[in-house]
Amino acid sequence: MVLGDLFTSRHQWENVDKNPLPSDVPDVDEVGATSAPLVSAAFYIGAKCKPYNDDFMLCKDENNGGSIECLKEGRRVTRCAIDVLRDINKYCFDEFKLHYECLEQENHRLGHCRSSEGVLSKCIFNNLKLEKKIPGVETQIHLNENPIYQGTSKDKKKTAEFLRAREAAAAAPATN
Amino acid sequence: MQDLPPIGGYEPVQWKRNLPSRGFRPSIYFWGITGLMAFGFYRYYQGVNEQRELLRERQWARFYLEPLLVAEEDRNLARRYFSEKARQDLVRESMSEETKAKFDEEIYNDKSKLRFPKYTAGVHPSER
Repeated sequence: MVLGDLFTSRHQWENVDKNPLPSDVPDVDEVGATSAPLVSAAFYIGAKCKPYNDDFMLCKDENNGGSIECLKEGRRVTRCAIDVLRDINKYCFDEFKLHYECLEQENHRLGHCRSSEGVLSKCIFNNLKLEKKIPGVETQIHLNENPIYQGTSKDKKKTAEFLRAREAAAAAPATN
Repeated sequence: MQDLPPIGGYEPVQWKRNLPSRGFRPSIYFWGITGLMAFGFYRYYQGVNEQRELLRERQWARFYLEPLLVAEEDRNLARRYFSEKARQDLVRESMSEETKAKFDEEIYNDKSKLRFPKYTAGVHPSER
């Protein structure tokens, strides 16, 4: 017994329940992405998975929280999100990485990563035909050419470097 | 006897005050500062609008992620709920009849809510 034991906050609370879900509930993979990639892909997940997301949220609304009742809809939501992330990783991995690393550095402020976001959204529109759109407003803030709050120039620099490296990579086989 | 003016006359009298220049006309200062302030307010409210839109963007990013995060958390809650149900059934098997009746008594009258199993304390640190 040490003095610290007198403080209740020192007591370590433990959740020992490690049992899996019952076998009649189908398995589903978890998304497993960290916050920055999720924020980066949020609008594309929202664009692609809107029906599933709405279905899930309506189910929860109808069932008073519905944590037990809406497992099926929840699995669909997760599968759809995984699909979108897999597609983004397949077609636009480098751009995606550029953007989420910027978000990671810039405290998840989307306004500070516009250059890399432009590159990413272009790639995603070309390959997946998904578009970022903020509902409810005419002026889409991410399309603002000349914003007041721009953050640092780090993102611009890194994006320019990225584009230069890509151009060099594209030109190299042509010269050979 | 009277003094006469000096030969060649008196020097001209300086009747105009010789004050240093005070800058531009006041109206120029007035309109200049007004213009500067107008520009400042214009930029400020532009910035306010932009901050609002940035916040909106952030919120919509969260709204789009919400079902995904909630679904994951719900699976965890459901897992613990079913596990607790199974544990309670297991405990119930080894009970006498009157204990079982007491055990099965509803704690809450409100049936509209799903009551999740509570966290339980682990063993005391000194016993670990």
